[in-house]
Amino acid sequence: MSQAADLRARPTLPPLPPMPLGRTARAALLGLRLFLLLITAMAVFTFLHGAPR
Amino acid sequence: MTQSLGGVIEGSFAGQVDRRRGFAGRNRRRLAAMIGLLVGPGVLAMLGENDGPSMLSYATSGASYGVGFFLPFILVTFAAAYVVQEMAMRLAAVTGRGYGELVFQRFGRFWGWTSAADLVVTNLVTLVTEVIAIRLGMGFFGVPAWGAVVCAGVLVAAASWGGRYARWERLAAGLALFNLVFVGVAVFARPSPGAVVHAMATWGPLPKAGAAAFLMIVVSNIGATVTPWMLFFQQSASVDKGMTVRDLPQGRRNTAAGAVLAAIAGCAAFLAAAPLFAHHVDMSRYLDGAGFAQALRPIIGAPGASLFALGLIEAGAVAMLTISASSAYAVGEVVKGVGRSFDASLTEAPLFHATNIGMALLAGLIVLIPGAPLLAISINANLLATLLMPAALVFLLIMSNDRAIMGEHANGRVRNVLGVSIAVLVAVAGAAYAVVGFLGAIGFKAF
Repeated sequence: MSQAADLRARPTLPPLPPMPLGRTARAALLGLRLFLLLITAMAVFTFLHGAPR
Repeated sequence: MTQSLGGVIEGSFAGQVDRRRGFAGRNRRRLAAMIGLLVGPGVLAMLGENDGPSMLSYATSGASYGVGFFLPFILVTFAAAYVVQEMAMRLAAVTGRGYGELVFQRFGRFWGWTSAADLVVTNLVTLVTEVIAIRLGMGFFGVPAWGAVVCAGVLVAAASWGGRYARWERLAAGLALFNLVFVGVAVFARPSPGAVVHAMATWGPLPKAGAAAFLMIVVSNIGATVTPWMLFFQQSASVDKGMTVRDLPQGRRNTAAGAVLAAIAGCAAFLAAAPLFAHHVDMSRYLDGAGFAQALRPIIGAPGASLFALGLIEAGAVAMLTISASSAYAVGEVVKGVGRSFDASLTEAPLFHATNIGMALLAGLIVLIPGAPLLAISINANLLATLLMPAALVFLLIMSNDRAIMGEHANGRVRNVLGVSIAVLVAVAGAAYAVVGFLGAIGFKAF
């Protein structure tokens, strides 16, 4: 293999299995969903009623 | 489980290429190789984040409130940036996978796509502000808007030309070092050493402002230093560079060096604009023109103002490179079976390069739209980054604690306390600003 071809070659890593989530991780993800929903709802509402300057 | 996953990763990663520089840097101790190792994704992520809106945010803090609370606050945000960027670098070196790829594989399609979409939207808004920064900087020297947009597009396309990560990194790093021109501007501004020492020692004087205005500057400064694209970028670029577990010490030095350099430049931009506060300059008069550079010219002189404009061009240019790259990495990592490396040519990784160059061009076109709300976009870019950062931090923390893939390199207690504290601080600051904005929108003026 030439040096240029060697430098371009990249190994393909096998996919990892889904992570088994513990109680803390599940709670964090639930909190994240709620946070994103809240922020999105507020952003949409604020945008519709005029963003603060 | 730990052993089998770790073994798979280590075994596959053993074939990682483009490791020659890393090997030379560690073993031969040649100066060029050592610098090559030191100036890497960590420095680029940190100096890339000292982008147009960030430098304007630091300058706005200085111009609005003078030397005081925000000077040590900026330093703390860079310390926070080091903590989270080190985790991203460690994840890359240990797992050999980018951030988007790991989220996609470990948490499923929903979170994988949500993270990538979150990043691409934030990046597009930020890229628009980078083009605006380049336009403002070049406008100071009389270059028309379309000229600035063409320069920005050509830069991103030219940097990825040639199909080599190392080449792209050297170009970006070379440009990034010019971030330190803001130190020159600060010298021209002649800040009072006494005021600087007092601010660092006492975190005062505290800003005299309403809660909404104060929160906006706090959130904006957090968003100027800790953002989702930095995590995506540093993790993916560290993989692209070919870092492994053996490179962890260098990766930490690289990230710390980036944080120190970026903090120096950020504080310099803050100090450079502080005379505007002392001279009671009304910045609203300068919003449509070359902004701070024009406002500073009568106070610190033409050379200092020109340096500020040059600094804005540099800040925008480096961020164009790194933020476009982080978008390309994210898309490449969540779309199955496509190339995702600067080491791949246009034909080998068309989607990667199309995203990299396409995002920059799209941002440029938005800036050229007559009547586009550029001011609103500029103001809200850092705020948007802060609002969306908690999502990125939650995944970063969970993955850094995932012993199945991290093994002995998983987070310890101290790193977890720091990481969780940062995530909570960012979430609370972002949510508080969102609530204040929401209350204002429904006509409730509590502050």
